[in-house]
Amino acid sequence: MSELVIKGLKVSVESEDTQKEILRGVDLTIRSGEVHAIMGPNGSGKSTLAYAVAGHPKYTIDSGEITLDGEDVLEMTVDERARAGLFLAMQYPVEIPGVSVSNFLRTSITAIRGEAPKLRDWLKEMKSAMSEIGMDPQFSERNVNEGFSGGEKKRHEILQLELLKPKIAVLDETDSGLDVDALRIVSEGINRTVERNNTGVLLITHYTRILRYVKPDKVSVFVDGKVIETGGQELAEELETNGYVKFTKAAASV
Amino acid sequence: MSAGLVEREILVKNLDARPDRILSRKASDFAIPTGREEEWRFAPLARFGELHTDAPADSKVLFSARHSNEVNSRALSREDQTSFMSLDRIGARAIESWDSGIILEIPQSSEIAAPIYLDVLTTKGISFGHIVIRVGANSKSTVVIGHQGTGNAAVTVEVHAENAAQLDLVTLFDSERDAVLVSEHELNIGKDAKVRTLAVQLGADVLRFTPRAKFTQDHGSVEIFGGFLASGGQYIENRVLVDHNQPNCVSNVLFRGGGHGENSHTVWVGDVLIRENASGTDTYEMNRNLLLDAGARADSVPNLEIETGDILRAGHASVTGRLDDDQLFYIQSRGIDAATAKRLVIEGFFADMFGEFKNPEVAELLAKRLEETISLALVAQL
Ligand SMILES: Nc1ncnc2c1ncn2[C@@H]1O[C@H](COP(=O)(O)OP(=O)(O)OP(=O)(O)O)[C@@H](O)[C@H]1O
Ligand SMILES: [Mg+2]
Repeated sequence: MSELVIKGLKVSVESEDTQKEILRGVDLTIRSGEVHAIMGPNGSGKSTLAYAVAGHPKYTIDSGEITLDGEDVLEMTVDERARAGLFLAMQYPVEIPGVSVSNFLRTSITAIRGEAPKLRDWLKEMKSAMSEIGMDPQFSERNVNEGFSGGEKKRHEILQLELLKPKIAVLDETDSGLDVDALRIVSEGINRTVERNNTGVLLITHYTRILRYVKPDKVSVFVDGKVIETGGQELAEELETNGYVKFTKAAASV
Repeated sequence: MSAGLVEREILVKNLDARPDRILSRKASDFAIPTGREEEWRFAPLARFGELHTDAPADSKVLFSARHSNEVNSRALSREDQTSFMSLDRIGARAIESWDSGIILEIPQSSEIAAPIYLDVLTTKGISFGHIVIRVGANSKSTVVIGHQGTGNAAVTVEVHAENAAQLDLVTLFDSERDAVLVSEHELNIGKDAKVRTLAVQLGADVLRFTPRAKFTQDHGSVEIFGGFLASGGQYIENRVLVDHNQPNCVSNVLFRGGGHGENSHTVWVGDVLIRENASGTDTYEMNRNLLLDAGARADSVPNLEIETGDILRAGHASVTGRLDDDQLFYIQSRGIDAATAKRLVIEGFFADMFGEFKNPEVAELLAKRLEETISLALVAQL
């Protein structure tokens, strides 16, 4: 049983020589086996939250805390956070020229598991994970994300989620840009990870579409750098019908 | 294309040819450079140790060859025909005053599977050497020139690839860190001949490499690839000249470079000259540089001089960038430590420099030396 606890998190980013505050006191808890959906308007700070949890150097933590099972995440380097059991599926996965998917995944698995998997077992594991997520095995010889379509990049993120078996995963708009079939396949991958590895998932999304496949235990509304309301799936349905107007007004009046 | 690099791709239609550019075998045809000349404007002449002045040679270049007995090699003598001409004073000094050299002959229609090694060792003092490689018609071979040693040396190379010959020429510049090495290559490419060259530049204090290709007939093809990684204080200069002086020839130039540490300086100047008669020319040149820290400097100057409009393609590009934070973050977010993340990005950057070059023995040798040099670069970053 794992628990990622975010308390009073304030984060800013340097923009044209001034610090711009983006997260204004975020409180969130994500537990093993739980799916917690986050929905919020463009620019409200959802990706910033995801990056802050993963430790991107661009973001400055002004105050607050993040702990994983009581351990201070903010004290850890980016790679230490991953080895401690955190995972981030990025909204815009990065291309790495000249580095093959298979080399990248094997280096990553070796780091996360603390030892290099046996080559034969590893090839089998990678191939079967790739086929589950509907990626042609030939992708293993291609350079990481280079020339991948938007949907292929997202599948590749979920492939890594399944192989790395994190305690807690933050999935930033993994559903954006997926066609109907890909959405179903990727959702099944997320569900498998929750079932098989008891991973806790923070699912950032704009659409209820994915929530038909991946059932959230909780839904939070994120506006202007804060969680302003948390409920069940009915909250997502309400957002789909009425939009964020009610919440943005509420946020403005706070 | 990684997000962190700014691409500058230019297609120049017309540039005036330079009348001041001459080729000669006589040093006296070139004035002692002052550093103001186009050819020397980046070079730290004070560190060339008199190679460019009048100081006579006081040392010798040592050559040795390792190959199967299908090919011939022997010491070059003044009786041997050489046709090499230089673009600058140092190369002219070498062809005028070399006192040791080697000649390699690859018989026509032979197919030499094992790489042919030419080892070039320079020693303390000033020395000049010359290499002649005659590649017979319809032959196929791989030649590896390995530069080692110290001192101040100029070693020139002339390659004659006869009709339909296929040559892979690899040069590994791996001199001591105090060496000054000037190397000028002249590639003469016959009808339907295919010459691919790859220069890997890791060693020396000052290294200047000036490969020049020209065609003896039509339908020749040349690839000039290179990779260099300069550390603190090191100066590495590449000046490529492809002279499209025959119709329907193809050239492809790709140099990937890196630098790190205080006062590491790399220079790449790529000139492609398409003459009036060179219709049907297909040429592309590219230089990409990756700066690993703020101490490194890279100059990159691509240049096209086109005298005919009747060509297939003429393009060039130059990109200089830094290690990309988002790439490093992405890799580290998968549990991989910072040093390994950097290593992956740097090795990935150099990956396509080997192009189509597939000889396993040589590829492994080059990859190993490159990896060792990258490791040293990473240690220097800590
Ligand atoms: N490096 C930066 N420099 C300046 N502003 C930034 C930077 N990074 C993020 N921001 C700003 O912070 C705000 C929050 O951005 P963020 O990407 O976290 O939003 P989001 O909720 O993920 O939006 P979307 O739904 O569009 O993905 C935006 O206004 C964005 O422009
Ligand atoms: Mg976002």
